[in-house]
Amino acid sequence: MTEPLLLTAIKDPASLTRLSKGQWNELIRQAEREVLVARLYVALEAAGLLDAIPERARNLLHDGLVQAEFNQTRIRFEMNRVSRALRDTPVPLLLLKGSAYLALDLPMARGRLASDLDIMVPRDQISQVRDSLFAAGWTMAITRAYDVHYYETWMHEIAPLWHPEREMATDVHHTIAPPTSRVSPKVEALWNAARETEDGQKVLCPADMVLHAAVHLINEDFRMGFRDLVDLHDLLIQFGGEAAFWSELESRAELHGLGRVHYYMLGFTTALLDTPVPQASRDAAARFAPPAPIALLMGWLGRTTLTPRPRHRHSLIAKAAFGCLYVRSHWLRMPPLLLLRHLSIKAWFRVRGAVPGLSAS
Amino acid sequence: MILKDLPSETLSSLLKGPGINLDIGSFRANLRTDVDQLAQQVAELYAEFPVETETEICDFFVRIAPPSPLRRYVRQNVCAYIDDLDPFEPMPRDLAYPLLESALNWCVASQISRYLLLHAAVMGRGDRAAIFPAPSGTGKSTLSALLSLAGWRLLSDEFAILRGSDGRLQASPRPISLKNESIRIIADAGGAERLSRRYDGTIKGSLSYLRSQGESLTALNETCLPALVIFPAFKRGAALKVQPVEKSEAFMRLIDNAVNYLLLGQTAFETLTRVVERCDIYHLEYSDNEEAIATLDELLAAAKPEREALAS
Repeated sequence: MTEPLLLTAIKDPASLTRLSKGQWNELIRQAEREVLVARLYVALEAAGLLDAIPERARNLLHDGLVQAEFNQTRIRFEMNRVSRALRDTPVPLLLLKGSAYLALDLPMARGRLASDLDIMVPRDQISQVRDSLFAAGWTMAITRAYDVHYYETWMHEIAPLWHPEREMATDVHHTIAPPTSRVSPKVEALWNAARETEDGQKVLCPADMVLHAAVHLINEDFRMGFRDLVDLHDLLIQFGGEAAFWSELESRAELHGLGRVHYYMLGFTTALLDTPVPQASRDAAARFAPPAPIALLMGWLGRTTLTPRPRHRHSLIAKAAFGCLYVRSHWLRMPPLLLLRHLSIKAWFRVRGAVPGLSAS
Repeated sequence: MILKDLPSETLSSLLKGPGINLDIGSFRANLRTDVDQLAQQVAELYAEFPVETETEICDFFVRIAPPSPLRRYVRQNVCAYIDDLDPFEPMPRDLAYPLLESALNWCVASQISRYLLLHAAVMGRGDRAAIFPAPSGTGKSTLSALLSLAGWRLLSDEFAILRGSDGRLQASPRPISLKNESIRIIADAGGAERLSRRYDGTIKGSLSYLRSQGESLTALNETCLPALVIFPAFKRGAALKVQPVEKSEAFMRLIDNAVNYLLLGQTAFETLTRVVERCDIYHLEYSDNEEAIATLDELLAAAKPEREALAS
């Protein structure tokens, strides 16, 4: 089987200068599905190759860049609105994920299409933050009491907030992984190591930032997996130039109980995207590996689900792989009894929704 | 090659296979369908449009087909598939052509951010063009069809396509869509030969399309300088009234008509500023078509769109 065009394009932007017209059509559809159109434009721009591709292809990639830039402007403005709404609430605030990449002005942020703002505040002040945002016009993005309760009680963030005028969601986190899950990042350590941007905004230190992106991919269900994998690839390249980064990454992974996640991250990025990871770091991460059969299975699941998806539907095998990862993500998120309870309640909502008359109860 | 040079059997088999790559001016659309009537209607209305049969990089991929094999026989519906999406309700097969036109409009409005798009008709003469921004129902399409019959060049009936680099207007002269009474007006004004069959029972009532021809297509890739902005209002029995519109007011009204103003941010602001600075801007109330056309001829001739170039 030949490698998907998008995968080759991310690894080697120069490959784009050799595509046939039909391959361009295929590539752009793949990139649209994985929201990586702007990413391709920026990669070509950085390589000085924008003039080496057909004008029609360049136009299409540029359409994607305009979309991404628009979202970036909206997110920056939303950050400004959140800071303003919290002016009189003395609470430390930290930007996460794409919002942090933007605040740091990382080159990768320019080609990244983000859709919401992610912030982190201390857990004991989260209701204060929410009340201040409510007072400033935000509303709940979801309204079902059980769903709100689910976020409040078990998740690493409260139910997403929504600003109806600006049509923008803000996720307010208090840590980077569900407290009920099998990983338990040290929140205090996240805050203590946090850095400040030039504008005085707080972001995680590089190692924590990478590990957060990795948890987001590896302990979830891989649905937006390829984009997340490209994020990891870009982050590792961004920070990996400094020798101290790699040992810091390993020790922070150990500190937060994210050794396994760290191991998978290095495995998937190097296997699929040839990400330049020092061999010593890969060897060192081997001590976090699961038992061999599990490592083999996860390796296969990763290769199957993290390659850009084919044109129409997934093959049966890919569907099964996504199914496994879905179960795994839930398994990791909650202890078995709690999970059983949660899934039973969700199932009941589904039955009630499907049977007319029951929903009134 | 233009579409009418393609033998109908070749066209029909291409449409059922890899599709045809139609140059609709400014954009290239890959079109596929297995609905035979639609193939005939496309051949008729897009007869003079350039077409490529080999693989080309396309902006849009549109396929019109029944949602399931059953729908070929029972309640014959068709859907518009754009890539993997189908943003429209299924339509009776008889309305496949209006569905295709809606799908193409949807593609332009939702997928293009390289140009500033206004919801407007654009008609040109020589190097200059007039923009008619208007919500549906103000007679914008009727006016552009009348101007087309009077020898003006159709740049676009649906979107003004403004290039950020130099503020010029690009063309996409797809057939003008005429509704209800306008169909008769255009037939009476000498357009009967260029009109398609009627499509009854659409959301907008009865529709008919005016085939684009002549200069609109020979000058397909030539841009025009925006020279006039006309806010038209057809009012039965009204005397002709031409009123200048304040530039600041016009600017705000153009923003309301823009499709992707927010998305383009600063580029949109700068492009629209140039349009407003360059153009003479009027509100035109009319009931007599010939009178309106004569007035528009004069207004376009009197406009001085080049002045902005001098200033800069």
